[in-house]
Parts: sequence; C-alpha cells; structure tokens
Amino acid sequence: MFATYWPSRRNMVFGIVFVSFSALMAFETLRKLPIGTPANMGPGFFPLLLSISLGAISILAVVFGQSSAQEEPLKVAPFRAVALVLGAPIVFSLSIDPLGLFFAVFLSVLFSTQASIRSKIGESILLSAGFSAFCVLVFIYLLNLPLPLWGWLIAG
Amino acid sequence: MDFIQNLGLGFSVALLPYNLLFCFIGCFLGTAIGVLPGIGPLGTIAILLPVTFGVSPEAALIMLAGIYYGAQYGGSTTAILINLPGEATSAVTAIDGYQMARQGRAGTALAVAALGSFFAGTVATLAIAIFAKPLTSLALSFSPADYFALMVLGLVASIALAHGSVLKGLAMILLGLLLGCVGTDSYTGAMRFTLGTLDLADGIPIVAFGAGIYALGEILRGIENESDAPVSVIPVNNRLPSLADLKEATAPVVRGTLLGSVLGVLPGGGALLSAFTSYAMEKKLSRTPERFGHGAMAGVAGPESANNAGAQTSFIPMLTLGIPSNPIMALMVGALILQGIIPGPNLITEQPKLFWGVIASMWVGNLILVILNLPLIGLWLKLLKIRPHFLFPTILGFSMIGVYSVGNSAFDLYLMAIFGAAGYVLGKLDCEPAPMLLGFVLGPLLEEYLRRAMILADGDATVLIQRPLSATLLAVAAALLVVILLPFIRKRRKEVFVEDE
Amino acid sequence: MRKLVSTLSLGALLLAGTIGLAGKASAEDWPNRKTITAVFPFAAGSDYIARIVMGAVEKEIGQRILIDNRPGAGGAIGTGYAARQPADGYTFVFAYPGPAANFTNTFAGLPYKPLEDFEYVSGISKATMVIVARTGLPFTDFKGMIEYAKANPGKLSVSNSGIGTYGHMVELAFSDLAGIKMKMVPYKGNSEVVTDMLSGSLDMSMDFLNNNYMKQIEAGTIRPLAIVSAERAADLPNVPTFKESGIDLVAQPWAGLMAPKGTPPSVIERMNKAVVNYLNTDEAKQAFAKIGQQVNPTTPKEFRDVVVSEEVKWRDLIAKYEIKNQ
Repeated sequence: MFATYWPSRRNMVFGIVFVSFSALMAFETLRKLPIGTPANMGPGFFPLLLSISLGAISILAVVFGQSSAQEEPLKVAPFRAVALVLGAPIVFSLSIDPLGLFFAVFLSVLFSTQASIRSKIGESILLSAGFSAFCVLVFIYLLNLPLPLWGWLIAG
Repeated sequence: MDFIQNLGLGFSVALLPYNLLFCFIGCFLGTAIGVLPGIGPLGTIAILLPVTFGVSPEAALIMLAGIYYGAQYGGSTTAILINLPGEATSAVTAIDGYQMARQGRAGTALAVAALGSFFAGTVATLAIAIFAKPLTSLALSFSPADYFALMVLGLVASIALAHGSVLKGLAMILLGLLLGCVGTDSYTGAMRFTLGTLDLADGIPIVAFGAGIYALGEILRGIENESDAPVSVIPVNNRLPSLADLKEATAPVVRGTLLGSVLGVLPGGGALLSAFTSYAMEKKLSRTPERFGHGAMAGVAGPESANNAGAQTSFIPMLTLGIPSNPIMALMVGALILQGIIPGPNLITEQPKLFWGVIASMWVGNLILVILNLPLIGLWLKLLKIRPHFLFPTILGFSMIGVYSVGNSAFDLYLMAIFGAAGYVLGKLDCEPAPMLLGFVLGPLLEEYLRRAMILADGDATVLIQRPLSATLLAVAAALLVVILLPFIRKRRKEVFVEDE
Repeated sequence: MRKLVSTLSLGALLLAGTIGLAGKASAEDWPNRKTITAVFPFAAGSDYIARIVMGAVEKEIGQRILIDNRPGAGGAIGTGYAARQPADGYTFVFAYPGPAANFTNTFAGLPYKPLEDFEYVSGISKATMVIVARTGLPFTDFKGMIEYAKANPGKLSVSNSGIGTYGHMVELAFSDLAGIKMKMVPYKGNSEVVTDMLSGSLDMSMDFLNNNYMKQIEAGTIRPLAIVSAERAADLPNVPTFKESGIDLVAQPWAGLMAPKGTPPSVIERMNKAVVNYLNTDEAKQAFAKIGQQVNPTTPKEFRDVVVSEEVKWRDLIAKYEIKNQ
C-alpha cells in the first residue's frame, strides 16, 4: 500500500534538482546580497522570497505528484547527439570572430548535422554550405546586420 | 461622429500608393523576421532605423509599425509549425498550435490564427479611433501598486499554461522569476548571481534563453525519436478551417480581442499579459478544459487575437502622450525624432495626418498580412514535409545568428547551450517551458513595481490593498489561485486512493 | 522627386546592403582600408545623435561607418570592448561621463581603465539636467519646493535613472546642500517616469532634459523647477539655475568621441575635423536642439580636459556617499 505513495523516480529527481537549486540561490542571496527592509528592499529581498517559495512549492509538487506506479519509461537522446547539438553554438562562438559569419555558420551547422543518424556527410556538407550562403545573403546583404563576413583570420 | 471623419483622413493618408508601399514592405519584412527564429522585431527595427531617414514621417512610422505587428504574425507561424515561439507571447500559441500541427491540423491552426488576428486588428483599430482618449486615462489610472497587482494576476493566470501538474507549473513560474533576477539590480546597482562576469551584468538575454529552451530542446526531442524506421510524415490535410471550426473559434476570438484591446493600453507589460490571460480565461470557460495542451482550437484563437489587439492598442500611450510602452515603441519615437517630429501630448493636433494615417494603416496592414499569409499557408505546410535531419540544422543556424546578433556576444551562445541542456532536462522532468518563460519576462517588472510601490508608501505593505484597483486585482488573483489549485489537489488525492483498491 | 529618390535608395539599400559601399580595398592610407566601426555602448534607440553625426562624418571622409551597439553594464561593456580593439584608426567609441570617467571610482572590477585606455577625438554634445515636478503639488517653483520639502521631510518623491547616474548624484548633493530629505526612486527609463508623474504616483524627477520632458512641459502637464547648468537653458529661459537659487551645484552631462589608446594622431585629427565641421552647421544645431541638447565641438585636448575634470569633480561625492555600481 505504501508503494503507491512513493513518488515516481522522475519526481524524486525533480524534487532533488529544484530543492537544491532553490537552496543554492537562497544561500547565495544570504551570503552576498543585503536583504533590506520592506520600505527599502535590498537586492536580496526578492530573490530570497522567491527561492524559499520555490523550495516549498517543489516539495509540494513531489508530495502531490505522480506516484511510482504511474511511471512511464524515460526516453533520452543518445549522448553523442546531445553533445553535437549543444556543441554547435559553442563552435559558432569560437569561429565567428576569427573566421566570420560564413564559416561560423558552415562549421557549426555541419557539426550539428552529425547528431542525426540519418545524415550523410556529402549531403550535410552541401546543406551547410548552401545554408551558410543563404544566411550571408539574408543577414549581411539584405538585413544589413553588423556581422563580420570573413573575420580577422581571413580578412586580416 | 468625429472619428469617421478622422478615419477618413487617416485612410486618405494610408492609402496613398507611397505609404501603401511602405506598409507592404513593413508587413513583409515583419513576417519574414517573425518566421526566422531568433531574429526579433527589436533588432530589425533598430537596423532599419537609418533607412527611414529619407522617407516621409508617415511612411517611416507606417513601415516600422508594419514590422512590429507583422513580426507578431510571423512569430506565431513558427510557433505553430515547429514549436519555436519568436517571442514570449507566441509561447502561448505554441502550446496548442503545435499540438494541432502534430495532429495534421496545422493549416487550420494557421488560418484561425490569421483570421483571428485580422478580426482583432480591425476591432483594435476602431477602438483606437473611437476610444483613444478614454483609454489613455485608463493607462494613467494605474499606480506602481496597481501594476504590481496586475503582474501577480498575470502570473497566476499563467499557471493555466501548464497542462500537466499545476504545482510544477507554479514551480516553473518561480524558477523563471528567479532567473529573471540575474543581473544588475536596478535599484542599488548590486550584481546578482552574475558569477563574477560582466557578461551577465544585464541579466540573461531573453533570446539566448528562449532559443536554448525552445529551439535546442525541440531539436533534442526530435532526435530522440529517430530510429532506423522510415520517417513518419505527419499527415497534412484539412488545409482550411471548416465552418464548424470557425464557429468554435468565434467566441474565443471576440473575448481575446476585448481583453487584448484593454490590457494593451497599459504601458509596461500590459500587452504581454494579454495572450496568456486570454489562454487562462478560455481554459476556465471551456467545457472541455482537458483538451487544452492537446490541440484545443480556443487555445490558439483566443491568445492570438488578444496578442494582436494588444500589440495594436499598445500604440495608444505613444500616440496620445508620447510615452513609448515598450522598447520597440521607443525605437519608433527615435525614428520620429530623426524626422523632426517629437511625439507628445499634442501629437493629435500637431500632426493629425500622421496620427490618423498610422492608425488607418494598421487596419490596412492587417489586411495585407491576411492577404499575404493565407496563400502562404500552403507554402508553410511544405516546411513540415522537409525531413527533420535537414530542418533542424537550419533552425539551429538561424537561432545562433539571432542569439549572436542581439549583443554581438559569444558568451550569449554559451548561455544558449546551457539553457538548451537545462530545457531538455526540465522537459524530462515533466516541467513545461511556457510558464517559466513568462515568469522570466515578468519577473523584473514584478519586482520593480513592488519595490517602487514600497518606497513610495514608506514600506507600508497595506498600500497594496488600500487602493481599490490593486485590492481588486489581488483578490481576483487569490481566487483564481484557489480555483486552479483545489481541484488539482483533490484529483491527485483521489487518484492515489483509487489505485490503492 | 525627393520621395521617389528615397524610395529607390531604400530599395537599393535593402537589396544591395553594404556591398557597394564597403568595396574597394586598396593599400591607400586611412580611411580607405576597411569599414570604420563606431561603438555605441547603449542599446539602439537612444543612438540618434550618434547616427546623425556619423552619417555626416561618413560623407566627409568617404568611408562607411558602422554604428555598433554594444550595450550593457551602464556602458562599461561597449567602452571596454572598444578599449581592447586594435588602435588602427578603424575603431571609435562614444564617450559618456559614467563609462569614460566616473566608473573609475564606482565600478569595482571594471575591465578597462577609463582615463588611460583612450585617445580623445572631440566633444559632441552637452545636455541640461533639470528637476521637474508634476502638477497638483502645493508649490510652483524651486524655492517653494525646497520650503515644502523642509516642512515635510521625506514626503516628496523624486526619480533618478539608477544608482550612480547623474540624476542620483545630483539628488544626493542637492539634498545635502539644501538640507532636505526626499524619497529617491530609481527608474529604468524616462518614459516610465513621465507615466508615473502624469498618474500622480511620483512627484518629481531629476533627469536630462529631453524630448519626453520637453513635450510635457510644452503641454503644461509637467512643470520645470530648476536646471543644474551654469547658465539658463535656451529652451527654458524662465527656469532658474540651481546657482541662482542659492544651491551651489553645477552639473552638465556630455557626450564625445574617443578611440583606443595609440590611434595615430593624424587619424584623430582628421576625425576631429570631420566631427567639428558637422557640429558647426546649423543643421546639426537644430537636430540637437530638437531633443534638448547642444552641440559641443572641441579640440581633442579640450575634450580630454572635459573627461579628466569630470572624474575629479565627482570623486569626493562618490566617496562620501559610497556610490557603487558593483
């Protein structure tokens, strides 16, 4: 009978993540920011209020949440795909200054295409190159965004 | 009937071929940037500002206004098709619109959004023409305490955006509010949670936040469903809404329009509240609230109309008082100044042609948008047929450029990756992103109004219940909270006991 | 005809973008090698003066100038970014009292040294600080306001645009000199200030005189009490200065142009000439006056003195009230 009261594994993780996050924020607030008075609230007043409420609500959400009996199997993307998709913005940020917009888009998009098990390298290169050219046309020539086209490594 | 004469003057200006051309350019550009993920109207208007130097003031403002509401339009297109809201308000449309698209009703959703927006635009234009003055005094009857109460009501309403656990929805709002605290405290200059880097001094940039949570999150969810089986193409039928659909959408559209028209007038977050207040209202009024979150038409029709009506009436404070109610309006004021026109309380008498011309152009612009977008629906639906492993890298590419171009900062791209990871994990924990996004956007406003009200009242918290306006709003918020929470807690209890048997 | 031309040029701009302007990369001297970047350390929208001035300079020196908005941390991010750029004459940055001078004393961990990292090109503009009041208060002028504030300490509310801004520093100094106490309320922008004044929630504001206030003053919905400049403002000839009213305080915000340290003097000189030439035109004077500002053309040396004396002027006040940005 007690088994049904046990929160699902997902909700346990939720509880742990949210309660520790709110504890961390509350701790940081108390350590660094003055709380002040209601008449003259300090920078810490609002965050402290929020982190305490967040902790309390998270515990309630676990208590009133799905029980382990209702748990559905968890589906997660393969680690390689996650790393490739999340890595794309990092590739972009590393290449935009030295290489400029065209190659930053080309490299990061090509990088991300490899996340899919369906991608073929030839297609991916074609897609990335075409898309980069399109972006240069739209963002640099059409919308006139102040983005470097070639970067200092190429243009000098 | 002065306003008919005035509108006549307005249309005589708006329908000049020259102004019509700029209205079209504005609507077209707006739609385009709205559809491109990560590129917002703020950036585009900032970039196009110098272009307006050479044209007449009417044409300049007509074009910029066209970009503004055109972008709202385009933003809902991507929200519906690929669950990628261009801005906070279309995050509401994404909830049910995307579900409709997955059920093969993307065409219906897009058409209902377009027609609802057009209706809202028409009504809002008339509202501005007839009620601009009284609506202005509404904007001036709100004190900081009242604004705070309004934000609280809006946040409570946004719990309705969660279709799973209400308590998790509430937790996500609080998480959003907390993330909104990051950055320089505008009252004391203290750095909050900036991890010692100046890059976070102005807070987490919303574009990086949104692109991470939505674009990256959606891409990862798409990849996890990949298997070696052939790609399942979503059936795309039922392109245009049937009569029954239209009938179903009518009441939400009308309610959303009214709500949006009123809330839009309030500077500082009014227009923002309209879309999800409408969603909460439709969900409460619906006989089938359980369909919300699973492709309810009212969940698209209401918020879209509210959003568009609000976007339009948010011009009122700028046109009647010279007070821009959001950063985009501030840019438009900048454009007018460059033209030698300083908007102020006397704009109507000093520049009647500009004032009425811009108002009339809004209706013209909405018409252009419908004409432009209804045929485009067919084209958008083709997007759904692109194989996902071709589509997602391009979404990613656009998002990265968008994120980078906001502040030309590489750091923002790291944030995007971090929020992508966070968004994915949160999704796995059954936490929905929309309430968090709204908490994030409203948080700074909520805190600002609260603290300002407190300073002005010498720390007397009863000021919040002494003013009739804020007392009423807070009472409604409290009632709404009880109404939302009670059945949920009761239901969960029941479930637990039922399973015991 | 003008309209037709501008329509066509708009189309050309949209379609062709920078391609025609940025073209020719020859080995000739400055400014022909590449596009010049002028960093504006605030968000787009408040940059019209920057755009007007650079638009004119662009024509005079014959090279495209890109306004690069790098907002953040009260201007510290963009100014710091400019300080780190190569001093090859292709980067300039707009200078403001905070990031160019006062942050030295208020901003711990500033990623550049305001008074050491730059060459000075020219002053651009001067603005007027003004204290305005809403209507419906029991006084109509500056003296009446001080008397009222003395009789009712802590009752009047006055806005500023954040800790360490001009408005805030002037409020602190003014309260001190006049021996009064007011509620100081920080705001993020002056459109919110005006809204709250019109709704009666806020009593007064200490801010730059700009279009927002000018229009309300013209319409009689907001009343100017006094200005903090040394002399009366041309736009508001009937409004007394602080000094006339017995408050010994002068503050005048300014803007100018700087370049990274080590930028060749010949470049500085040509840039200075281009800026000053434009600022001396009637067109410039009118454009500035529209938003309540005055042109302020200077030599590089004169502008450097403006920045240096700025830091000296506020140093003690900042220390006294422990004003901090971080």
